[in-house]
Amino acid sequence: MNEGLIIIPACNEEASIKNVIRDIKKLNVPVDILVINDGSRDNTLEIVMKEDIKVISHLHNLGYGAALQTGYIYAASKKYKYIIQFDGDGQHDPNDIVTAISLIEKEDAFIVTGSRFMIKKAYKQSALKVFAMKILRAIIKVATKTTITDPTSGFKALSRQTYTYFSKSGNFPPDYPDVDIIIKMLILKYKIVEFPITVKKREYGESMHSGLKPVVYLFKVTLSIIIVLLRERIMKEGDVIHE
Amino acid sequence: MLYMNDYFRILISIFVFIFILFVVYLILKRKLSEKDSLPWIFGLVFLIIISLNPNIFDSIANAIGVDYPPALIFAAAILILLFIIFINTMNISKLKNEIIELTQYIAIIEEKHCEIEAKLNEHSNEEHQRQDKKPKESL
Repeated sequence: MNEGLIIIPACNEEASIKNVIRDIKKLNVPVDILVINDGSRDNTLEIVMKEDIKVISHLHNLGYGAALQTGYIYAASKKYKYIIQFDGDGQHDPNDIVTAISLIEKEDAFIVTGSRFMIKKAYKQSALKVFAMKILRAIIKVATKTTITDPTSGFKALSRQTYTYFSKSGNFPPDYPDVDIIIKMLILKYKIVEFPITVKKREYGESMHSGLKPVVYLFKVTLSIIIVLLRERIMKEGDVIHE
Repeated sequence: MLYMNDYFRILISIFVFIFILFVVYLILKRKLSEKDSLPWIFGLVFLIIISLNPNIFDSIANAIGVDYPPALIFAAAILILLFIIFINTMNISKLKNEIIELTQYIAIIEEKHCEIEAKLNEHSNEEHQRQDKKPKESL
């Protein structure tokens, strides 16, 4: 068993998953790879089974959040030092994993999160998406007094304490885990480090956020953030991560 | 002497009564739990009482200050339905979470099961090889 675990939630990613896994293996970093097959209807499971990696397969589709949480639960049972969550659709660049590992190991950060917007050039988006992202940043800035350039990023590294806490069923925010985990950690004043990542254009499949969806997404995420805030302020869930 | 209105009322009472029998039948067949059937039984008994004694409702409506008593019936019916639907939504949320947890649990157990099986196979293969070697050595 290696020190770290790369968690790749995958639902119907037969076109891209093989290359993603092989590219990560080429890096020669001391990590295990775990694919969570979230009830795929295509050949994703068959493809990943041939790859000599760890595979956990949901009987039916539970959604991105639950797939991620399954990875956390597994990692917690094996006590990995850190985990890295990575998209299976090929949009993330495996080379950024090296940076993520060095950051989570050197810095005493609880979360290291990749930002698609810290480099000016690369990531082109629709005007609506850019607008939604700006509002989201503003909301987070007001709520937590911190600027996070890419709150919805799916590329993160979590320390053992962090993922262990979120692996427990009451603690995990299942609907928008990427944003909600960041918000929760910011409110509790844990150290979060952002670093720039490059993003490839999706080769296959449809983005989670296309068309008018950014607006609906923005609305739901805002609601979700408010709930996380209220939980801290009113229910006083409070500090959670103990050594 | 019965008016048209009374026939309708009796018809509704009969319909509701049959509904109650149906609910009881489902409970006996274990297709509906006793606990979940309670709001329905209470609601249905309530409906029978009202349809047989509409005067109760008239006097309640008068007391509250509702000019048109049937409006009160609608309001009551909607509130009861809202209550039942809300309880249902709550239960569905809970069930969803439980199903997610179960599915995750099964998936992780399955992975560990495969891991253990692989190790056992390795182990037994080694044993076989050892046993295969021994007789040769003794020869």
